[in-house]
Amino acid sequence: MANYVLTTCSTVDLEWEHLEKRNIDYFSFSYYLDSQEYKDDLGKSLSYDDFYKKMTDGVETKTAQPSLEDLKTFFRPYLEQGLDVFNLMLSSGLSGTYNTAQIVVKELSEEFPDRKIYIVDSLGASSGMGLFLDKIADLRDNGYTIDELRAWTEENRLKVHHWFFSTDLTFFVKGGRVSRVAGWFGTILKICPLLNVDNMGRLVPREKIRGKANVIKQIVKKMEENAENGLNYSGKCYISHSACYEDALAVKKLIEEKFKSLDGEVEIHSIGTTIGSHTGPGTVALFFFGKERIN
Amino acid sequence: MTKELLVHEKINGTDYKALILNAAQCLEDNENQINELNVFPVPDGDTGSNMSKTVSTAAKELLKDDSESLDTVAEKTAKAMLHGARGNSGVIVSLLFRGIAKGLKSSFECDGKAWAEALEQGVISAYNAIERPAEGTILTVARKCAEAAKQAAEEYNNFQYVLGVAIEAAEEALDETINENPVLEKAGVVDAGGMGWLLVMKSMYSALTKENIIEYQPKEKAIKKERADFSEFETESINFSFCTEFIITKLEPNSDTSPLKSYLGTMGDSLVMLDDGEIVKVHIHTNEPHQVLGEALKWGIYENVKVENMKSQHTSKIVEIPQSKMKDYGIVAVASGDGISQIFTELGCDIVVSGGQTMNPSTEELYNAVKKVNANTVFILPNNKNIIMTAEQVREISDKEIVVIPTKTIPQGINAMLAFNEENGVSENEEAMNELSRSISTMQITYAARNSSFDGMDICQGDYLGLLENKMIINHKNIDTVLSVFAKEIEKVGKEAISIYYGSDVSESEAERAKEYLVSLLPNAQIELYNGNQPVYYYIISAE
Repeated sequence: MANYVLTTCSTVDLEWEHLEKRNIDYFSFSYYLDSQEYKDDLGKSLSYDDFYKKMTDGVETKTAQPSLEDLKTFFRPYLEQGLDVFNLMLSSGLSGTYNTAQIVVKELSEEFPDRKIYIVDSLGASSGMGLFLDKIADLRDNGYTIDELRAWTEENRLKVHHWFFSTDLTFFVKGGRVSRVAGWFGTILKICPLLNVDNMGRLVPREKIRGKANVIKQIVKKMEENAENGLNYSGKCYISHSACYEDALAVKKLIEEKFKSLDGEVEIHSIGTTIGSHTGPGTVALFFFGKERIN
Repeated sequence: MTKELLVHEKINGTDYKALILNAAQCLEDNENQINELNVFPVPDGDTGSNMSKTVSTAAKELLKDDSESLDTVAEKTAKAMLHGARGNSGVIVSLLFRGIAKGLKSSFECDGKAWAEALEQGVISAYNAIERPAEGTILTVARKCAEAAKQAAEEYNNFQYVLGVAIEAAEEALDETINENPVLEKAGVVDAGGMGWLLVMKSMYSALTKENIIEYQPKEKAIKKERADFSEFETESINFSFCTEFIITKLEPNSDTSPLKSYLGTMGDSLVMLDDGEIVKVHIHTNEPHQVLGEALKWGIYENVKVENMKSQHTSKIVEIPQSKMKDYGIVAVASGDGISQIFTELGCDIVVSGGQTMNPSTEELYNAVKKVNANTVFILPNNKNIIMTAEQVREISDKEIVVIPTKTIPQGINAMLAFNEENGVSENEEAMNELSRSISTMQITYAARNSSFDGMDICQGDYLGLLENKMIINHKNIDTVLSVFAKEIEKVGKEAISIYYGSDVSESEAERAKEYLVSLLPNAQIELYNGNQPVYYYIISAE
């Protein structure tokens, strides 16, 4: 049994049951529907279906980072038990939480000078963080020390590829995660922008694709180009989606047709309420391991 | 401000009405100037129009009314604006006036303090009503203006004084918007709505004093808004060259000068004429300043005359466009048909120059379009083989870096737009745009204008002509025969994504039928239909 606890945050977009089973704790972001505040508890208090339905109906959503105090309250009990803490954090290219957490680390380290508190920037998001986290949990189970785990995480985080498309960038722009660039919003030609997460952990629009059928083919092509060993990729592959299971399923089927050596089925997860507040419904994201992201 | 001149210590309902009427007039006169500040994200340019329409609803309502009580007039103003509000800025203006009316409730007249409180109420209403108030907008201008008014009222409780100080603050606040709002900074302009509010305040003041203080000049530190604007229209589009302004002292005080106004109305545009009984002030853009001045001489003696040639002013201003505020890339495309043009615009094309097969634009036209695009590098998509050379010429005469993507058809141009990515370098974009545009096949259907014989084919007038990559491959009386030849070509190269753009001479139902016919011939293809509304070509069909 490791003498440290593995933790993450609610943007990991894995099911809470799964995290519980793997013995991983998480802290929550908050989100608002109109002015009502909710805790992002991985769909426990409000189902994802209801959440996206509200968004479609025009309910205003926004998200809030956990406060310094929230983070301290989350970490403190473990430190008090004499455990070290490892936390895989949402990309610093998407949220200021990583920076906030640095202050928390500093203050808690003064309070618990003998404990190790490692908060690691995943430079990723959603089930891409989830895919990475599962791998990290495997290494923990294989007996990695907390220091070995941190080194491995920092060494390998850019190998997780995040590609995704959306039928509508409106919510992305509204949430300030993508700057409004002319030409990405072609409604006449039904443009589906294909984006990825770059080496700084930021969202970058990459290609303008006409129509859903074409973008589904294109996202799989991106996996062929970028996955470790191309079509012979033998790692795990996760998909997350915001209220568009059919589209996610179409991507999964195409991948399973093309990639014969995958480690298990392609897993489909739901984009949770924190990331979902920024994507809105209609986003499909694809995650796999590949060569290091260089830009 | 010299306090002796501040004669308007208080205002009543009649005064307020005059202030609102002048504000409406002033917004109407300056509508376009405000519109042109809207440059981002899409040039929908309607802030000025919306504000003007909002305030003019109140003006119309007040003209029916002669109340002297201030609260009645303010309430009527607010109510009318509430009904007439259009667009975001219009709504904010109406909220500001609603708050002002609230502040003036049960007041027969208002002094400086009451006015400052009313302005404050206006700002509170506006901020309360807006869920996420953004700074660097009309809200900021209105807020700073109200704050200054409050302070001024403490110093000297005089309506005119307070309004004057408020205007100074509004002017400063407006200059500052460019630094507060990154979008404005990028576009190099001050906020359009904020400009509108400044004009409202100024026109109220000028109604009070009968002085024209409407002009707004941004401070040095703010990017000159008019520079951005002047590059937007060509020298040629100034219809009346001479900006003519004069003041006359009337020969007969209080005489009706409306015949002069009617005459001036026939002599040019941008007419502003103020008559205070004793003096008349005129501003007009005209081509015959001598005739205008001659006519005015019949009504009074000149106090002041100023005539400027706007064309030469304008030419020198174009040269002054600050390079630093330019964006990296711009795109100019040639296309005809509003459906096609809309597609290009939506994909991020800055300017679509109207033209195509039957009307090739001149180098000058393309050059002017390039000039208007505020970018260091401009990509030109000729979209027709007869326009490629013309586009190349632009490179010779333009100071900007010009990249011509030699697109020969509309679908090639659309693909070039799809490949463009602002994040990438010039050569990377050029390569990607060329590559994607070459990957698409274009088929077009037009008609034979006369009987002829071509490449061994006998062609009768009215026949449908089918072109593949601009080369005629089939002519026939029946359009389905042409479509079936195309279907075979598409099958031959194994392409599956088909787009059909139908022209202005084809009805939607005809186009649907043609699409269904192609669907029956190519069951595996994914076929989309768009209204291109282009002339000459019944159908432009692409396959990739």
